[in-house]
Amino acid sequence: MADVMLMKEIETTADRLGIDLATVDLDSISLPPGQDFGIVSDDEDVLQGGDNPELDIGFGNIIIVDNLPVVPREKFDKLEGVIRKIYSQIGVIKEDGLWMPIDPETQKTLGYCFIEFNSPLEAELAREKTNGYKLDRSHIFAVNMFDEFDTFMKVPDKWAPPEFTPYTSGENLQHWLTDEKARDQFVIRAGSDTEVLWNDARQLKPEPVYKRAFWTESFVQWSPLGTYLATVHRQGAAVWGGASTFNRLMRYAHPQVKLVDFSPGERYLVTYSSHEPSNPRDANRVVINIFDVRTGKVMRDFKGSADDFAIGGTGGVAGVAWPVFRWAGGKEDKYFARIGKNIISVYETETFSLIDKKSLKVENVVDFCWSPTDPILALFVPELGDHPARVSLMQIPSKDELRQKNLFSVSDCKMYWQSNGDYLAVKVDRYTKTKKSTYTGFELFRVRERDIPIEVFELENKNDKIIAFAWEPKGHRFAVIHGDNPRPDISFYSMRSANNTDKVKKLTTLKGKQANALFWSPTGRFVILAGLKGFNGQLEFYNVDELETMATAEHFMATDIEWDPTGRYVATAVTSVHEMENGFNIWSFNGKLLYRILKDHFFQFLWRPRPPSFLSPEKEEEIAKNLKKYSKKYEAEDQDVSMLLSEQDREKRRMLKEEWEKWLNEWKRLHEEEKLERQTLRDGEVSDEEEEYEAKEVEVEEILDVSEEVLSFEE
Amino acid sequence: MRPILMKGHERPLTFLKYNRDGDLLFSCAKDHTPTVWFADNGERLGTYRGHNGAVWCCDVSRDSMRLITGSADQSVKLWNVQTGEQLYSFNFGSPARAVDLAVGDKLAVITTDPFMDSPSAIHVKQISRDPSDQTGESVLTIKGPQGRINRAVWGPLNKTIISAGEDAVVRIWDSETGKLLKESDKESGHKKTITALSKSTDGSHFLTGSLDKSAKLWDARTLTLIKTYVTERPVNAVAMSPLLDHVVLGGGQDASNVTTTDHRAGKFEAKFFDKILQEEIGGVKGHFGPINALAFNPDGKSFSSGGEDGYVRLHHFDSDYFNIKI
Amino acid sequence: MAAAQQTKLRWGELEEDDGEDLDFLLPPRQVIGPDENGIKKVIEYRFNDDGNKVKITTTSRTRKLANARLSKRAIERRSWPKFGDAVHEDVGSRLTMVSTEEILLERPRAPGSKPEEPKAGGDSLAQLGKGGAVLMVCRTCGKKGDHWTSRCPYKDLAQPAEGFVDKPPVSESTTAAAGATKGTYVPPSQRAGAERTGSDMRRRNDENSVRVTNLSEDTREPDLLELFRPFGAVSRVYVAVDQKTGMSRGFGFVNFVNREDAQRAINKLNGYGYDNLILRVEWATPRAN
Repeated sequence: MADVMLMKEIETTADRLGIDLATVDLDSISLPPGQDFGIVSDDEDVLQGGDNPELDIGFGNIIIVDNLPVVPREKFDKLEGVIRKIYSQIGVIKEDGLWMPIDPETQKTLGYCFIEFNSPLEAELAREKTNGYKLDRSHIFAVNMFDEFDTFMKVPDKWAPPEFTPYTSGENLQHWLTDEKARDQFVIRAGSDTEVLWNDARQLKPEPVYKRAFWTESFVQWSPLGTYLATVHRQGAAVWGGASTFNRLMRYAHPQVKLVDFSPGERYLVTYSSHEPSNPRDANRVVINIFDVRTGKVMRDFKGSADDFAIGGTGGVAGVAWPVFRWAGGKEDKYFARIGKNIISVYETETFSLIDKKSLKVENVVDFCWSPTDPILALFVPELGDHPARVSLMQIPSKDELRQKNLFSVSDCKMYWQSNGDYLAVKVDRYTKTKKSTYTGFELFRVRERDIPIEVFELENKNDKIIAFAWEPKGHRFAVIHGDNPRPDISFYSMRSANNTDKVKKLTTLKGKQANALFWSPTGRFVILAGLKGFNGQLEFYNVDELETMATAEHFMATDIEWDPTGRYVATAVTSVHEMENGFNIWSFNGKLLYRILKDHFFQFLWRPRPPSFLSPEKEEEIAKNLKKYSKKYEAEDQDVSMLLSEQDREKRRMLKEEWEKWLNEWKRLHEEEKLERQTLRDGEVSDEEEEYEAKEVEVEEILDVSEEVLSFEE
Repeated sequence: MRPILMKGHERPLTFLKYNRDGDLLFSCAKDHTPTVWFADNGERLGTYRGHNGAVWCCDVSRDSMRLITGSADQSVKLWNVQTGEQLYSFNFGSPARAVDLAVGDKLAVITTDPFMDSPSAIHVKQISRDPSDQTGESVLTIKGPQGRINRAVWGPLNKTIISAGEDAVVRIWDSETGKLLKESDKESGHKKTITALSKSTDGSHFLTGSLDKSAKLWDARTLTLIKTYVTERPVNAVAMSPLLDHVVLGGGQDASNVTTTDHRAGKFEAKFFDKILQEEIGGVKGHFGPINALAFNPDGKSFSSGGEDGYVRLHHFDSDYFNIKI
Repeated sequence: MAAAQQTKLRWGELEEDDGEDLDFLLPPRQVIGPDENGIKKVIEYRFNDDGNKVKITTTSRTRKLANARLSKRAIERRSWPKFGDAVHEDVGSRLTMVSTEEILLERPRAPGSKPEEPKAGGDSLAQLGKGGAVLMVCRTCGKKGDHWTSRCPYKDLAQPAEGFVDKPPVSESTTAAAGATKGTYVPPSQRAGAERTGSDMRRRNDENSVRVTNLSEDTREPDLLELFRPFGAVSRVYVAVDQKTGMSRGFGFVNFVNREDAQRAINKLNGYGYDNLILRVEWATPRAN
């Protein structure tokens, strides 16, 4: 390809060729389409700095297949036929899209060919699938994207060390955690604006942090530890963050991205897009990229048909269940896995390849989920023929089966892990003997105990339909909404019982509640029994320690309920699903309404997550014990009366202060006047002189210990 | 803060006074022996032995060399601060109550209680530089006010004497002629015995505390009532911060409440008020009995309180104190 | 004051015995530190009564209490010799000591918020919950048998519907409200709107006085009040307290308005477990009937 030329060289060349440059309108010269010699034109409205040429250049759907056999004319057609056969299995080769150049001298093929597909995706897929394909022992396809060739050609012969950019320390991305008033942030989307605000409970209103119109094209999402805010655009995703404002930290190219997912430790971002296939009868093409969040580098990509990714009970026919890749919990982001046909593919992030280079074969597996804290997989395999349904716990990477249980007459199953990974509840729907209806039971795994004992648990009324189930975060209890009545019952159970008999114990049942959803506080202890949808936003704030209702309230037509990450406040929102009364309310944990904000066309409300506390469990205990001591200080601040002052009071104070100023000035004046006289009284001793001072520390000696020891005689 | 506790007195405290430099703290108590302490760490320096009755009040000269004390033993004594030596003793016919040195330390005002037939009186004595020249003659004697005069101080430039006492009236007297110049208004003034009086650093205004559970701030020249601070306990002692706009009140309980209200150790507190807004800022607990004496260190960074329990509590303020918002 | 710690026995020994002579046998006094934490160890030796050598290790920590500025003259005064009663004092005497308790400038409550529960009451009540005892009455949410007022999870939420203290009308100053802490018994004479003097006596109703003994040291009037209220209107409670230590002397009196209530209280609570002790509840003056 062409090198960049200097203007001088152009002039020289022009002279040589006899062209008068003055007559040439340089600006009107346009390059033939697609042949820009790798030079980015100034004219092109390069999107956002345009550092991702792959997006727009039209050669994305061409591949170069190298290492083909060199054949004479006679064999051309045969070779072409073979290639066509191979590649049409992967994609549709465009009309006249296959070109095998011939060496004019030898009249033989040069050993490579160009194949053009209808879309870049197909081309990439083809490259992926056939790169390394063994035609025969001596001919292994080397397939590359046409565009990439460009880059390869540009590799200079001499290796020059990369430019050393001086280290610019980044902003403190965790700065928001150091808010003096310990407030939490949340992001809201309303209309075309996206805003990040502080929840200021003392002032009973939110305080803005950053607002931007058209910040995202569809939705926003926080990273799991709250460091980044992800936005989605046509060309890809971007993450934003910063100390006091939101700067764009990184962009990730992924055209037509639909969904994003962060790894729990915020190291990786998974993006997903789904495209119409060339053949309408095929399933959609799915592209999934895994980026390193901080560098923006693509660590791995996955391409395939939607069918490959749509296994799983919840996926259904319509599409893929997102997130397709589930990460093993914990900050290290060590493993991620996806379910496939009869396999679970578990990858590890050192090399981004399958552990042991192969997927786990699990015949007929339908669902899996990771423990939130340990690398343990819980799998569910439904009944098939003679084989009963099975739930098993598998340790990664050893692939040891820690525990498994066969279940009979199972129609469906759902797995729920407790937030600390201590317990796993498997909700099992079973057929009754007549197979006409189902009833539900739970298998409760106590993961932390030796041999992981399993307890079978059923509601008192087995036939009650289970409407909702939720573990208490960080706790040992769970809540179940069950019943067939229009107003179902809610029962609370504890995994611990008074005499440690390892049996689930019922704490209480609340009858006839207008609730269909459970929202536990992230710190446990409190739960909101919410009646969404049909119940039009009934809220009951319930204290599970005392088994008492703290408050009942209503947010008419509420669609979303979210606790803040500290468990102090709850946000309830009415999103634009409803036409009226869009907006959100902020409540205290015990059900007191603090403030409400109305916003039309309200789409999203998301609290900014917090990273887990750095305190050791001992320290946390110590703080809980000495809460009085710590809380005194904060109580004092909370009662900072100046905050609560009304306008009137402020006015009164101002006047008092003014009056006092007058007195002070008067006194000062008189004092000055009398100064000389005073001096006389003191026999000329001058007052108010700055004397020499020495700083001294007042120290006190505290006796810590006095011990006496009788020494033996010889010493 | 971690207060320093000084238990040098066997009986209830009556008065506390810092010297001008703020490094010494003088305490008076009912146990006859005024004591001097180092004001930074509370270490006791010495005691002044000689009185035979409760010591009600004291004052120290500007150079911290002379101490004057008033006692129920009907005498007012002059001491050498450094050695504890008694330099002179003024004798009266009735218990002496309040003492105050004038600017220049050449004059002292002393009040005496009503005793038998004699009413209470205000005496002005001359103080000589040289103790050997000292005489007991009074320069001026004012008689008259009903009831005990609990406190008397010099006004600006020693031109006036301000007195307050059991009759709840504040009076300003001419210090040369002894004429009554001003009296506090009965309507707006205190309703019960005035127990304490404290001057501002520049003497331009002063604070009085009374058993009527309030304290009042007055202009020293015009006797205009400027501020009133209301509390729920009878006030025994008052002090003004020289640094911030704070006023501190210390007090006790009505005797009638003693058996019925909760007694908890250390519950008696010194109450802080915002001087300008007249609103309560907070309280510092600790004393086991009513607080009878309060004093601020001239640098405003520490203060002391003396209680019925015989303890002096010395508090160095934390940085939080200086950041209080109201 | 970073002065050295002296063994208190030294004085006595030197003056009395000829133990003085043997001092040269003792190893010298060692002072170690203070280290970076300010911890200092003083090791001294002396002879005890049996003539054995005793090694005494005193560990102390020097802590900075405050900063002070001293003028030149003040520094001079620092070196003045002690006089009066302070003459024979050694630095280690216990006249001056730093409080072990941290004292704060406690801010008053904002108008309308509920004051703090008295601490001791809270503690004993907490223990009560554990002991699995008795009738628990919460005044805040009115529930009986579940938790005490101080343990009420809603104590911040709800304003007590009826406190024992008649709350003064809202317009009154906050100081008054703050002063009457919810748990403190305010004598009838102090309550807003009550008649003063004279009537107090009549109200006392000594005939319905119940004596409660074997109380724990932190039990106070509010605790007794809460314990006995369920039985009926209480006109007065009193807990005997040692003035010096501030601890309860272990007994108190409760006066009921109605005799029947008092009788029921005696029946129910005599022998009841409260704060790890068995209560004794009986008529204060011996009853004929």
